[in-house]
Amino acid sequence: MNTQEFQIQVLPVKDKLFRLAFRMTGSALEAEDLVQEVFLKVWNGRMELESVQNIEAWCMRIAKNLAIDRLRSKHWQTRTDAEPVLEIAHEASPYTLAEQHDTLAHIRQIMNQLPEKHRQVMELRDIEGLSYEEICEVLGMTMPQVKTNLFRARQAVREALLKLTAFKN
Amino acid sequence: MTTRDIQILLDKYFEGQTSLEEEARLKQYFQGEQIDPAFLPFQPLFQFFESERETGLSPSFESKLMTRIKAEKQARIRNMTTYIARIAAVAVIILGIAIVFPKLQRPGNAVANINWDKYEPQTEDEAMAEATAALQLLASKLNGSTKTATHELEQIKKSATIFK
Repeated sequence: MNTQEFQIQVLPVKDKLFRLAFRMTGSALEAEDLVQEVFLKVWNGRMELESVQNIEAWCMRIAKNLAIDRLRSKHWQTRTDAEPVLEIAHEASPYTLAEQHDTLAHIRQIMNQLPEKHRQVMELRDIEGLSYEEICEVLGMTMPQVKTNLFRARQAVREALLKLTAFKN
Repeated sequence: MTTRDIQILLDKYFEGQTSLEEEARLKQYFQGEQIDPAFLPFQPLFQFFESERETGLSPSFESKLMTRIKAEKQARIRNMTTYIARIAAVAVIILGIAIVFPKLQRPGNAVANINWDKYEPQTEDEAMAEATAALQLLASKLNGSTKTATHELEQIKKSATIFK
């Protein structure tokens, strides 16, 4: 694979990788750096690409694993001390949420309150448009696990949306 | 799509039973302006998905990445060239030692390749002339030596008379 083929076949996934990394790290700078690292890894291991069936899912899995490594590393901890991540209002009441004018921020908060696996599955499905098989590959889950997590996530979001509407009215 | 179709799709969606195509139809519906009031609570959710999809890297990211990849490629080629040059240098040194060292160890074996046959006399006359010349040279040397010896003996005799 030459650089031109790399640009055509691999780079289109860059924004999906960035969003995944951003949602996991909460830092745009960290996410951009991580995406670059993913692409360098893929480029250096491009001989293996022939055996990869789904390049997009494969890249996303690498990004997810790198993000987990960084979250665990001391280095990331130091950097995020200086660069605060998005605050998650775990204890925000429906009334507080209703007071906020930004509707999208409400949804973001609802999503952020979901358990991590529920949220990840729902984001990959509803934002990134991945198939169940691709979600299995990216998150390393079985099909039943993916479906169960998605079901629970959507049920929780539905409930939160209905509560929010009730408070607004 | 009728209100009933949307209701069925929404129910399937929240049950986690919809296909990607059905989800695309729902997203399309909630991007529109004529939304049934009964479904309005769910509109922000689908708007949120759309707005999230618009988040992406800066346009300069790709060029920065490709510059870095090309730089790494060049560096790799340079490293490879240096590596090969080092191997070649070591090979030349080993080869040089293998060729030169045995000769240094056995200097006596270094015999010049001379064709002596061409200096051999070709006829009997030539052989006779060569032999005569050699004997004459020997005789002249011997004559010279006899004269020197006679002179030396006379000197000794003179010296001996002094002590008598």
